[in-house]
Amino acid sequence: MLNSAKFDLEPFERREGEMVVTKDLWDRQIIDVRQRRVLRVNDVLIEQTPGNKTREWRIAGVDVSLAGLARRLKLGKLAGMIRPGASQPPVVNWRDLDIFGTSMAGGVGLKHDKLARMHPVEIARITDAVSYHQGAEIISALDDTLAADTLEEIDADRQIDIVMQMPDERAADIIEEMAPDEATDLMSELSDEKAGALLEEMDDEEAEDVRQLLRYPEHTAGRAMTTDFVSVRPSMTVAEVIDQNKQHFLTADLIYYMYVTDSEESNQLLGVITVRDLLLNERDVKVADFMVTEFLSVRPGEHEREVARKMAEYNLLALPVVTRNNEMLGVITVDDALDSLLPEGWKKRIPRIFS
Amino acid sequence: MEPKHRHSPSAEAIAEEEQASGAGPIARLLGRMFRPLHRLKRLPFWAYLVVLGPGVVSAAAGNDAGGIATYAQSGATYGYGLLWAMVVVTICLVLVQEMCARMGAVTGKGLSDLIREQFGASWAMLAVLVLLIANAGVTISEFVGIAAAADLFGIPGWLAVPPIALVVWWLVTSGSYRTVEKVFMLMSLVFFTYIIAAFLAKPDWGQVGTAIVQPKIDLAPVALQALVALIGTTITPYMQLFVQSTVVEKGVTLSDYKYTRFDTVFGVIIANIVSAFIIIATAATLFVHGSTNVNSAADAAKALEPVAGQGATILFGLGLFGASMLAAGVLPLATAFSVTEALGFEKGVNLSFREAPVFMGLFTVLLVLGALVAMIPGLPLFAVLIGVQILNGALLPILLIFIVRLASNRDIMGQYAIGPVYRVLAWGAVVLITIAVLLMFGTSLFH
Repeated sequence: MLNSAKFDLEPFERREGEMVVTKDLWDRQIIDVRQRRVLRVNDVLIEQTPGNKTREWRIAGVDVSLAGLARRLKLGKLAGMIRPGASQPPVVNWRDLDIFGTSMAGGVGLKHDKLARMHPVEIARITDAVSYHQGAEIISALDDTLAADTLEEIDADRQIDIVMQMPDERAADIIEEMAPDEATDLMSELSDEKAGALLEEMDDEEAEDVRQLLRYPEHTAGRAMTTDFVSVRPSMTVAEVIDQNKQHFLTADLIYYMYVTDSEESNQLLGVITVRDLLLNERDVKVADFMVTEFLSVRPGEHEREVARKMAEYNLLALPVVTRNNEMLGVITVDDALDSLLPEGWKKRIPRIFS
Repeated sequence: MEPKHRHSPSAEAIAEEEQASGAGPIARLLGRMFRPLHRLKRLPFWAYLVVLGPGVVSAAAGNDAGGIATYAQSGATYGYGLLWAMVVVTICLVLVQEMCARMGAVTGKGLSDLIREQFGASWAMLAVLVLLIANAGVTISEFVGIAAAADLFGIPGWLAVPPIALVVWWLVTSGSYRTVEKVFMLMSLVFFTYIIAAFLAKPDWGQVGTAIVQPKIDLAPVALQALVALIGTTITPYMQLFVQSTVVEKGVTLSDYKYTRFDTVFGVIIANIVSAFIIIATAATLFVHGSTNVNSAADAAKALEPVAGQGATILFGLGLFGASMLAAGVLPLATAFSVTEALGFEKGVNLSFREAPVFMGLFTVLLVLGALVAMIPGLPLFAVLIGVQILNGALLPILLIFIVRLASNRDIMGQYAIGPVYRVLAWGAVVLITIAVLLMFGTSLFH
């Protein structure tokens, strides 16, 4: 611009997709997707594009070290004295960092492809370390499935804060992708209006699952169970079980146990088979020939703790939940039952401001 | 028979996985300290009032060693003379705490976080420096409080402080502080007995009433120091940090902010009523009998004699110990948290000593510093306690200016920025406090 004869004297205005280093990068938080952590930008590294005649400059990365901070404070000498810590590389490469868009006018913001390099648990941990606005921004930047997996890993209070920040339509899309029991837990913590609005937005099938589970009181097997399980008929062969459930095996929470019911309508639980049975039996053997018919089950009204105790005692991964008439309702898995065993004293919920 | 699975998780496997995936001890402790209250949020307002008790309890427990010393000294030296200041300071504190709680709910960010993002690195470092000095001072005062309590039971401070400092460090880093914290809190409830003591001492309520409504300004340097100490101990800088990060960590957002506001304001008022009664009790017992100087914990304990008689010393000692222990752990932790936040290093998640050297280092240094100073032989304990509060008061305006500017900034607060009337009140509070501090420095220089 400087080699043109005319100067552009219009005051600078940030256009969409642009950002101002001193405003949008300095002192802001970034996500280091390689080290899976949230850091603050102390300084910005700018370098000349190597081997380029147009003399372009580009941002190579950001400095997150104490030395970088000392430089910003014009304490250059001090900066030289601070040796980079062994545990913390001082510079985050531009390729490995993601920036929040909350403070920016334009379309710059978190990018899904960068965030998706992390595991849902790690993303969840990061949403925990930033403000709830930023947490919502992170979740919004993910695709529905990853967003759902991540949301499942976030604790209930944070989930609510984040869901409340999102438009209902988007929140509903994500909740649809969550396991029904997780989605129900989340819904039960929301206000009735908000939960109603979200159920309205959700696909009928998923919304129905959640409504079903919401009928059971908190801390019961009925509330904690998932309705997403593999069910088979006794007349099916091993080959049929495998072929007809391929798609379901991909998404169901738990596929180790498959539940044998008489028909879709009456849904009477007859027996249980396992993945091991499928692997060990010939392809033409019928389910009825190897299914186990003596099994433990629980009622939907049973307390979670009781369920967890049974699982621990018998070393089980899951238990079927059935009605008094032996109708199959759902499955409670060990991870859900485990939650109830973790101590949660009522005292934790008491407000503390000045302690 | 249910098929048995080889990989069913055993108890050990579960414990192991928890260890591997769980956050570090500090993160766990902070997590436990700031446990959210989503269930409470959905309760009707009256239900909130019923369970409010603990909020009030912890607020009253916020009267730490420095606070007790300052209020007792003020009552003994000036009688009811500074009660009017308690009223003004309470109003200021309500404003300041409400602004910080509000900022926490609106932005979801801590105070030093906001200062860094809004005012840049240099200003943030100034704020960090102020916080470090003020909080290091208060940490020292907590250990001095522990030494003074030990003194009351006949144990020399230099003997009692090192093992106690070790225990505090261990309790915090192992994450078990939360469990024993309640014991300290109960002990510090002893100071509620000052209310009874005040009534039993039969003060002249007419005089008390007049003192509350009629400001009496004494321009003697010592009197101004007492005033600044009173301000500094009531509006302690760490309280602002703490209220904001508690709001953030509890996951309070705008939708449930009204409960938090109520809790904040109510807590402040209750805590300061207790403080005022400490002044009244000491004024009615010590001041009227001519013992106008509180030089030691034993002197301050005398004000409890109408309640406990011979047991006053023990009662006071227990309270002092509990209150000091309560803050001795939380304060260095909150300071390290806040400083790390401003610098931008990892905080709160997945922290262990190796992963977060800055965080853990700061925490340890603060604790060691506090303990070492308190161990100096022949240290005038009560003078140090009050000196720290004067320092707090003197540093306070710097932090308050940041707070008011942030709370009125529409870029950050949007429509929840404080309105024009609120802004005038808030700046009024800042100006009043600044004048008191400048007057103190001014008069001290000319004498």
